[in-house]
Amino acid sequence: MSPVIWAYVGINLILTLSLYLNFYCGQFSLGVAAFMGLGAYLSSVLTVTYGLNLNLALLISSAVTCVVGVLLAFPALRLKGFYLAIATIGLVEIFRVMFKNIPFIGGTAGFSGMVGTSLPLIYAWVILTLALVWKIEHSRLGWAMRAIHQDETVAEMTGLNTTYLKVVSFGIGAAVAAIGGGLYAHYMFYIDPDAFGFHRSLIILLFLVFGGQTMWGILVGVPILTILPECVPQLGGMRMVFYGAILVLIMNLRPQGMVPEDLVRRVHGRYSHMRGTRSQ
Amino acid sequence: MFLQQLLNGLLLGSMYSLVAIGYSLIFGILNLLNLAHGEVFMIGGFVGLYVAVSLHQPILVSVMAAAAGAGLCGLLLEITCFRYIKKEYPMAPLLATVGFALILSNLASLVSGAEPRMFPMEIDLGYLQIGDLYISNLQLSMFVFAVLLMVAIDLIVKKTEIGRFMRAAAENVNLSRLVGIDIRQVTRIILILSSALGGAAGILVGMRMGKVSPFIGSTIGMKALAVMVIGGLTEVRGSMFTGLIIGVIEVLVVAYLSSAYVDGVVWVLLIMILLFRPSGLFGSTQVDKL
Amino acid sequence: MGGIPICAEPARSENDMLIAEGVSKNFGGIKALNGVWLRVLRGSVTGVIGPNGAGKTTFFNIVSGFYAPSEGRVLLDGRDITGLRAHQIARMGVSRTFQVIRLFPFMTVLENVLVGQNRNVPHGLASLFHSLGSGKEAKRKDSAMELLDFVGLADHCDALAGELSYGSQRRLELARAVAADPALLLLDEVTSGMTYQESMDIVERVRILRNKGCTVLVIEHDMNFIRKICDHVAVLNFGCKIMEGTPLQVQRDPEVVEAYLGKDDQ
Repeated sequence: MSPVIWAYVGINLILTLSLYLNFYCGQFSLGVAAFMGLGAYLSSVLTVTYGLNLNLALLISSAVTCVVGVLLAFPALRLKGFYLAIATIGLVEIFRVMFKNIPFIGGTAGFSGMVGTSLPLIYAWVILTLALVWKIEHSRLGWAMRAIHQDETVAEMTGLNTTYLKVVSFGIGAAVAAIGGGLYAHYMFYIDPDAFGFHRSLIILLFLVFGGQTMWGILVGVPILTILPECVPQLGGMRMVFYGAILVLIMNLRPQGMVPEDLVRRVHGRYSHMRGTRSQ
Repeated sequence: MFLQQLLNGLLLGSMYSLVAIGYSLIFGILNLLNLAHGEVFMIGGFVGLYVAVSLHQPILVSVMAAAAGAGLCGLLLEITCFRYIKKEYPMAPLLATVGFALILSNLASLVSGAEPRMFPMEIDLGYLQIGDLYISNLQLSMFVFAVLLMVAIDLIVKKTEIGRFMRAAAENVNLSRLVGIDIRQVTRIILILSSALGGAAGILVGMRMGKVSPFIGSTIGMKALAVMVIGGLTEVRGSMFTGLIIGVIEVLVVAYLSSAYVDGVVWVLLIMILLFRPSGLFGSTQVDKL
Repeated sequence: MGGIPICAEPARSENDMLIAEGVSKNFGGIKALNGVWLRVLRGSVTGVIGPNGAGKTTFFNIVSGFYAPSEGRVLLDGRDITGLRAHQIARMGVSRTFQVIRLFPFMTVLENVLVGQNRNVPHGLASLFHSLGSGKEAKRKDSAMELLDFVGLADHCDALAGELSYGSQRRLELARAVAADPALLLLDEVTSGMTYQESMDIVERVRILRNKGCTVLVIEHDMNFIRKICDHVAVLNFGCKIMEGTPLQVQRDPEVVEAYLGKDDQ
């Protein structure tokens, strides 16, 4: 199998983890495409126009996107559930219109010339992102985020600063999406604003939902969904139809996803029972 | 001139209204979001195009065929996305409709090509001139159709027995089951009905724009979703008027500002409404209780 | 009519854990609370009773910070907490349970209690630099287990909170509230739905907590509970405090009886 597929797997992993971080905290934000685009354009300009080293460009664009994410998080705080989802779709579309109207980055004609990624580099970032998400899950920050997800009012009344925590999740999610966007841009050599529309967010949502909204689910689901359409040659042009069909099927047959939380908990519980320690 | 732009805006807006009403109807009565509605609208356009051009049928027949084709899609939608999905996952039907939409738009693109299909020039019914204003008869009939539709839906929902059933079902699903109202039947009817109306709208819009495109469903569909939210989620009237307002604003933006930013307008308005008046322009507010 | 006069402005003393001064709350046109004055002595167990809709939970919501009062002030241990956000008030030592059980259903019993430990425990970005396996965390886990033992749920520490029986969930709520080592504990109908045995067990728990120095405010409908543990009772009706005194005084007061049972001739 060609390395191109594995590059996509890596990039999709990072993007899905970005979405995951938001959903972990109960924030159904679909803004990942907007932050991906921002990271893509920022890092591309840094490397192509200013000749910066790729990793440095990725870090800088990620930091800037994080700040943007934090700023946008404040108005977003007031929105819940569906309203947040559609507002963030709006955000994505607004960003897309903005990208189209900045001649410096090529407007509708797009921006090109980015080079410098390789499979090991992409996966180095994937591993970093996985480590970050793992650490969040295994820290009180992660507990706090889960608490907010399950009952935000009670979380607030238990002493958790829900505003701060939601802003943090938004910001980290944006930073991670920017890394994914930067790697995407440099792997594709060319980007244009239409690559970062709401369709992108919806596909990443599919990845997350298919996996079951757990880290293991993402590690299993993203490769399957990225690689499967390529395995069957006829499926090539039908990739979107395939994704649509998967979504319909999954929602009918297994809406909780491939590796949902209770499955992880059961397996984990069984495993640590075998090890003789009490699971946390 | 300004009046002409205003008129154009109303006509554009009626297109958004038509699709937004479909969303509103389904959401207001069934508490379900059907994100495939835009695609059903698009299918109507294609079916109508085929019937009008390849089968050489008159316009009225094409519109009815479009409605029928779209209604069929609505049935398919009901089967795949709403009938068998378990209720424990409230997001599941919504996501299924997203999947259905992906399938429809991309299949259409594969069958017909990603480029829009043109309507031949024969479908030109001439212009109406009132003083300095020009309205194409086609646009006029589309506008009239839209208004009639919206009034009719409003009447049906408010006055008839079906309307009462639907409202009861919306108010309390379990209660209406006890009373004997079959929520699945109601769901099926509403979905087919709104899809048929969407399909009719699709062919009319196609004729007005001169073409049908496989991806128009998602573009207009998303904007119409925003229109619905801006208008107030459950208010059919909200969708109606807001669609017209958005249409006017977009046309004015293109005319007096620039066409580059027009696609962002509805989203900026959406975000402002969500932040400052979340119940929507025409909706009513609710309070959160501990 | 015995007990403290209703509208006299109470003298502030250092012994007051909580002082509510003329607290009112409007919701649209409805006045849920109307000028409530209350002093809660440090280390006491005070009951708040009244018919449904009297404003008891609204009062708790204001004290715990879910919303701010429309009028009036709330002072916690001498400090004005009016209008502060709920998490700030919680960190200052106020914990509560809820009328309708609210736990984190998909977290384990132990995790629910651990999350409740909010005094001086970092839950933000800083916690990324601490390990869950460290000594401090081990100690926190031990105190959490002690608390679970205190409420009799130690055996269920790994069960999901949502899967517990009703009575166990109530006890878990209590454990989570106490995990924050509160100075003021608000219990909203904690014995609702419990058997006599379970309620009396809760009475014992509250007694132990009071002996450790915790000030407790309870909303209750169970007069047995009130009689057994409360030093002082305030009665609310239609958003006003109509009477306060010892449980015995309150029970005998004709206005209180009328509030609960209605006038004889109706």
